[in-house]
Amino acid sequence: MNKYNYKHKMPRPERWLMLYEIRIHGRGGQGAVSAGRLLGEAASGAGFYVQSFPEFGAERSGAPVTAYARLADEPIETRSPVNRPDFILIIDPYLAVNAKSVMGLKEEGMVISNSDRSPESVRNSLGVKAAQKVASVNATKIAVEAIGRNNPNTPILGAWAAVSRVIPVSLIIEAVKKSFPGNMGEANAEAVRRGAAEVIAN
Amino acid sequence: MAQFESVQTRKSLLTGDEAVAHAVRQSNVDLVAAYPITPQTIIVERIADFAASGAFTGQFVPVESEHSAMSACIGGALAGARAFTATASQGLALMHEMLYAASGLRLPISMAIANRALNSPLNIHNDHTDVMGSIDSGWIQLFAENAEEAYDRVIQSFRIAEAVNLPVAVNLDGFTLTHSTEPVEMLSDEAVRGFVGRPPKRDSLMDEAPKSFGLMSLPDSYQFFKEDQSRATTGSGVTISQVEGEYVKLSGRDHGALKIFGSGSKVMMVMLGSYAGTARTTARQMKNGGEQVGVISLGWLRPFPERQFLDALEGVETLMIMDRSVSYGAPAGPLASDVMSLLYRYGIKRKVIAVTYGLGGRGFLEEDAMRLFRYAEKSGPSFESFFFYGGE
Amino acid sequence: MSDPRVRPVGPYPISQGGWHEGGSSKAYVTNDWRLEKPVVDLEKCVGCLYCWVYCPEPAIDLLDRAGKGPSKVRIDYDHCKGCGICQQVCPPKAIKMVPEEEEVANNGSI
Repeated sequence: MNKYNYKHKMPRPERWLMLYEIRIHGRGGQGAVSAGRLLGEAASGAGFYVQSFPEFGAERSGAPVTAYARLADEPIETRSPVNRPDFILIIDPYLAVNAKSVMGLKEEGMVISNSDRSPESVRNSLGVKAAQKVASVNATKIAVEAIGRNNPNTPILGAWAAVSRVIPVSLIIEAVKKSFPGNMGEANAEAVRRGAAEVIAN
Repeated sequence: MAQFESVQTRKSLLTGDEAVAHAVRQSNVDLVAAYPITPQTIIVERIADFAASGAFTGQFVPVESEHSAMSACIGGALAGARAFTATASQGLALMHEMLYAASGLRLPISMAIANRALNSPLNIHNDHTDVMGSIDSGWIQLFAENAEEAYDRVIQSFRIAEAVNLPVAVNLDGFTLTHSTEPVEMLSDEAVRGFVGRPPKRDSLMDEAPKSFGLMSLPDSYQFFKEDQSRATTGSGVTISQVEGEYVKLSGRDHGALKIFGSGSKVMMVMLGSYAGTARTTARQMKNGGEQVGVISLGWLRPFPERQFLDALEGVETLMIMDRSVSYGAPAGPLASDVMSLLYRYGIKRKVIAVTYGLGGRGFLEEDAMRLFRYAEKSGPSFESFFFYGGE
Repeated sequence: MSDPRVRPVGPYPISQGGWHEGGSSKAYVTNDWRLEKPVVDLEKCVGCLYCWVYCPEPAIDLLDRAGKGPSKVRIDYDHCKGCGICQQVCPPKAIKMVPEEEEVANNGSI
């Protein structure tokens, strides 16, 4: 598992052996909130305590949506939104050009973005620092091909699992199959696999 | 209760609302009458799903308003049914009239309140304005800090209500609990059914010999009814503790009247609801840095856990009481007023800082908790004991 | 750390009872909801204003506001949320939806 050097504004308690904070940016209808939930479901399978919640408010199709997830090795009590994420998942490619999306990313954090562009290009348009990692995957294309509609959340989750190595991709596939019964589950599982295979990290 | 000592549990990822719906499904409930309102909606949706699929075997009555929801529950409870409803905010306000009828008739009804702000201005987010408006309606008021606690307290609420003949409300914070996904260790259906059993026999509309309920009482007797009701509420703490004790044997989870973190710390933050977790996380970090701070999180508000609260004051110098609602023109917020009158009654002197915060979903981050702890720690000449905290 | 008793500055001035000057929705830009945007083909547009009738937002404007006669339309990109209803109802099929990042003229007409 990745060892991150936490440089918080506040000192983390020593008992946090492991805490991953994740922020997901998408648009209403693309599945940012379900991505958070699926991620939680999958990480729960790996033995993590998890917490996932959306940025609360009226949900509108097409409007920018933020969701959060925390994975830790002990029960999570805090209710703060994630302001200093280890991972930022950008589900909507148009949000991958907005520097607001990567606000607060940790020094050695990582952005996984849906984009048809190279990680270098995404890095430049987001203004991500050299120490921070960027990965890009054309999740929209994968989703349209594998699922038949533009739900790029599951390929992004596959990509995240593949490049972050926090949990195995197989757990994401399991969680996806559990949430979508039948053919939809198979299609989404394929989308996860392709997301994991086609992601390019930098 | 030997048969409950080991039960199969299943860890599921659920939102607070879903956890409540599952608790209702498992608890042999005869009647659910409810009207959906944000952020309680998912509770009603899930119970409707369960009713449609046959997983919920009681009557599900979709009513046209919250006033009707409570009226239907009162009718059901009078007929001997185990009744449940859920609401929030404006819905609780609309229900207000019937809340008093339920408690005055001494009916065991359970309710989940997904706490949310009240109009105006319109706001769908979380604070405790709704429940504080109904705090004196004669209901037992319990508060959950997380989804699992909401699940546990709803299951316990049926037993408590039926033992003391008072209605019980379980409060869970809107959105922060109702819409957050967390691991909930659900008990098996059999274990919960065994725990809640069937409601004990009571005088009901269904009795062979006709009885009349909801009678009128004149100045010669009304006060005595109310006095009995008040004593029953105050005394219900013993029963709540007993039910919680039995539940511990079943689940291993003990929520109790209040949770204390950092017992005996100089500064104690007194909180209600989910933000206590944020404060506790911060207090833990500050304690590691050698600061004397702690958190008291109340699980019961009515009855107020007097003895447990006073026990928790050992070694405490400053109480920072955090209200998420306003009592306009009052000396302090509702929770702070409660605590201060308790201190006065027992002749206990502590420095009290009453803070009103987090109204209408205004955020409370770990940084905010830290700022407030630091303020309570130093409190110099410009010390102020009552203010609104709005963050940065 | 600053004084926690100090009230932070809100997003706008607070009025008693929360009233507001009329027309405030004009300043509330909602275009970040959009994934695709409508583009009007002025060759085909006949100025029937079906789109204006059906648009759930006031996002359809007249191209020629000064003139008294019929006018073709332009899109108000500050308030269009990209629902695509205008494309569906346009009788001469003069409106099409294009990806948000595609460059078009400011008035949304080609």
